[in-house]
Amino acid sequence: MSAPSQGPTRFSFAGWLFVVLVSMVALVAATLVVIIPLGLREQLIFGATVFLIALALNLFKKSRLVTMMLVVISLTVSTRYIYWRLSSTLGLESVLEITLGSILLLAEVYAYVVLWFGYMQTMWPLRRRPVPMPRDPSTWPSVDVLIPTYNEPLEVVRATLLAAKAIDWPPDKLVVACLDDGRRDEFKQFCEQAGIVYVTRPNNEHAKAGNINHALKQMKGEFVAIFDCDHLPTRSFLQFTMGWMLRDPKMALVQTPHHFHSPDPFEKNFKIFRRIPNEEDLFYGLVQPGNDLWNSTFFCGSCAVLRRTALEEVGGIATNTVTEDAHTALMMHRKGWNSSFVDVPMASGLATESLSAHVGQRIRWARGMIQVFRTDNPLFGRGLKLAQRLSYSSAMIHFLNGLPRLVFMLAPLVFLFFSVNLFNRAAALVLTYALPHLFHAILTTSRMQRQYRHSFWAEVYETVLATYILLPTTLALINPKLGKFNVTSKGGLVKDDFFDAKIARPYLVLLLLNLVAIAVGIWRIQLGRTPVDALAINLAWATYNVIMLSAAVAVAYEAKQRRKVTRIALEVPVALRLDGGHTIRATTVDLSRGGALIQTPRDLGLKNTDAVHVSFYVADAESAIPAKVRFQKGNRVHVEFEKLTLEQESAIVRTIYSRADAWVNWNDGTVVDRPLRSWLEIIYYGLISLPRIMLGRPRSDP
Amino acid sequence: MKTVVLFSVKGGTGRTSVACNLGAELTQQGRRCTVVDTDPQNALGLHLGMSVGERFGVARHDLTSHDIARHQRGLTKVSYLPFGQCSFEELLEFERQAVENYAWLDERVHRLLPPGTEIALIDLPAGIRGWTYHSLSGADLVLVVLHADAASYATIPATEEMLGRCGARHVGYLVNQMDARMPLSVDVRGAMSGIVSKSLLPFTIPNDEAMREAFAQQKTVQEHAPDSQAAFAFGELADWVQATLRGE
Repeated sequence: MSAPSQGPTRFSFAGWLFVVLVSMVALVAATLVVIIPLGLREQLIFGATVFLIALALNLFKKSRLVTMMLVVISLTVSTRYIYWRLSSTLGLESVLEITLGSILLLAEVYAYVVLWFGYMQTMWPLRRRPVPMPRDPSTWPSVDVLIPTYNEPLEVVRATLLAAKAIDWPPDKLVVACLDDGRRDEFKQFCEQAGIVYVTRPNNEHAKAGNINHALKQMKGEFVAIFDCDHLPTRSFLQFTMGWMLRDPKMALVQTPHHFHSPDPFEKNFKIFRRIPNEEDLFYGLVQPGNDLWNSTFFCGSCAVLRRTALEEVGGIATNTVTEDAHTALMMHRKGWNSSFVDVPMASGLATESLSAHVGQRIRWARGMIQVFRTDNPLFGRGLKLAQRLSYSSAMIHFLNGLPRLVFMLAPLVFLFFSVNLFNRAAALVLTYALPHLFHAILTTSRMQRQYRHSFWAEVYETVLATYILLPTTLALINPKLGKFNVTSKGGLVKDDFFDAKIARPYLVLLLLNLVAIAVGIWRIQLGRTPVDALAINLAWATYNVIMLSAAVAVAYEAKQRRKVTRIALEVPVALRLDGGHTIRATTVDLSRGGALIQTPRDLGLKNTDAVHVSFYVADAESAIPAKVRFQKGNRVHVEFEKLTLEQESAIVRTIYSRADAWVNWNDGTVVDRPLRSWLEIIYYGLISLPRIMLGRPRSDP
Repeated sequence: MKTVVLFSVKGGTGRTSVACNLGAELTQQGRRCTVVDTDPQNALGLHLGMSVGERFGVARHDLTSHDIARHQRGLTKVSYLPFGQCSFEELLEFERQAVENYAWLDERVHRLLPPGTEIALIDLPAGIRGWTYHSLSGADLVLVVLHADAASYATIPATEEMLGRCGARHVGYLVNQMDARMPLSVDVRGAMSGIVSKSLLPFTIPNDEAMREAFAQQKTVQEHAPDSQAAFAFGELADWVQATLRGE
């Protein structure tokens, strides 16, 4: 039994009758609340009262029941808004107004549908914990660990390969394979030295999916673990995931979170690394655990184990869409297999390095998900349960947000520039309906997403992507065959601070338009010919857009990456061995494969280029790494490692990446969401970037 | 009272300094501990402040309670019992008694230990003698001190046989003066882990110049270089010894 049952299984007839009756009463009540029209004053009082009730309920921070109640309230209020919108605000006059008004309405309905889906997907995250393996390792199954690579440098991939070798599993049942689509000699030599299987194929058909499928034909393991070439697994990866595979013979997939030890472009350029949850935290922290409840966790391409027989039954990894991973999971679900998500980070990788790489990767995902939506729509076709259909659909239609977001960014401009009405109601009334809809959504979402996503940051992330995914997703909706797989590059270095004007162009254009619109709006107020309340709302909306767009522009100001190898803040005990034969007990402050910053008990009086050895203690063995002092002041020494032997490199990789608890406390410094503060932070980041951009020399990426 | 015996087949492995620094660490942690020297070299006390030429010790047969009390008063940091200066004839007599009488040395030591001693660390001389078996078989814990080199590795089978024969309750192999910069040392320790894996201690005492300097100044390494990895390692050793004696 892999997923918990979705409701009580033993329920007497009387019990069912009771539930049905209560639901009917609730439904009637909700319908009344939704459709009864109220005047301005009554609506204001009603809206304010309900919101105050919600705020009071929200004080019970830990109660899931309260969360449910807030979801119900939010959905009721939003449904009231949409109903009112559909029934009372569409009496527009000119063709232009009707057209534009309908476009805006469609965008709002999209947002409303996404709200429903979103709540459903995340309202009860299943926090699945690892299940222990049987006591006797001789009963454990064989696993192949596959690490496909194409053009990533050996410097990046070798660490992953070494970390995979360090996974705790009976050595005769573990095979680590490097699948090199680049067919490079240095990779072959490294693998031979390290005891790793080296696999190549004569062509690169179907990119990563083809690479894996080709290797699967040669491997014999009952299970397959797949890692991106820069995702380093911890030693506990298999022991914490395979338990579920053994417990449920129909389990085809155990997925684990993608964790990143380097900052993504938002975190790097805003310097919010580890303080504010990053963009992926929501997906792996809340969405996938939510999916897990409905048995619809999907494969994310890395940090997962799959059952070979399940993969073979669907013909290997899917090759006809660009997000082959999600599609493969969908096909396995259709065949009746189960999937699960173990909510413990057991691998760590590099986030996308620059905004353009980030956007490129997301475009691929967006295009791919829409391709799947078109060619293998989860709402139709056999084999899926209703909840699975809804979960997959939710994940996919999320990527259609390009057009609605663009509409929202342009809507106020229509009124401010051209006085075209998109609502035919007094502005004040609009506010009394729309504000509760927005506020409840913010409140409830913030409560559910507390440490996984801070309010309004979602807006920034989506604003950044909106204009770029618009075209690919629309094309994919029309004809899924358009588009080819473009690999996200890993390991590229941002050499200098620079402003990526090329990628920021759409935001700059929209920002400018909104700024001009605000100016025009203010001028109109002075003219006195247009109703001030309508102007005020649109000005406020345009201001909101300006804030979001300036934050998006700010992200494009790439902070220089100072070193090529990522440093991790990590405290492990080490021993320094000095020239002269003395040893000093010390602790690392941060550590990378290239060197370390070490905290010593006293000032050691070392000089630049002094030779020392740094001893690491891994699994009861001591590894003495030769190093040169780069800098020493007070109690801190910065050393750079000399050329490492394979054993030494392996020891460092294990120290940094392999410990079972390596990433468990990563988010401890993250602060929980407070929407108001979040709002101010975004304004701050948006505004401070503008002078930097104006004073600096904006030049495009060469 | 628990007895810990430090033993090695090969000489020069640093057994005596391990005994003294371990005794110092245990004393610092509040255990009432006495280090006993059964090696005619009579060098153990030098680590702990004894003056060269001190005559009091285990080997003397003419000790009065006054002598014993005077010795106790003279202890400055760690409680220890020297072997003592004796003549050649006295030495022969000592060895004869120790070999012929199973419990003779044991009783002698007990008589001289300060009352209330919780842990006695008995430093045996290197090699296998007539009375080694007696000393080992009475021990709660045998700590075999060796180097990570081929010569020490070669002594392991003989050591295992000896230990098997005398039925010591707990055994630990401690690698001393470990220099992890030397690939050979790392390899040999790995090989040792293969043949005595259950008894090989998971940490080592590093080869630290501070230990030699400490001895030259008649100090313990904790006093002389408290920041060193060596001092830290003795802390680990003391913890391990106490846990093992408690039966964990």
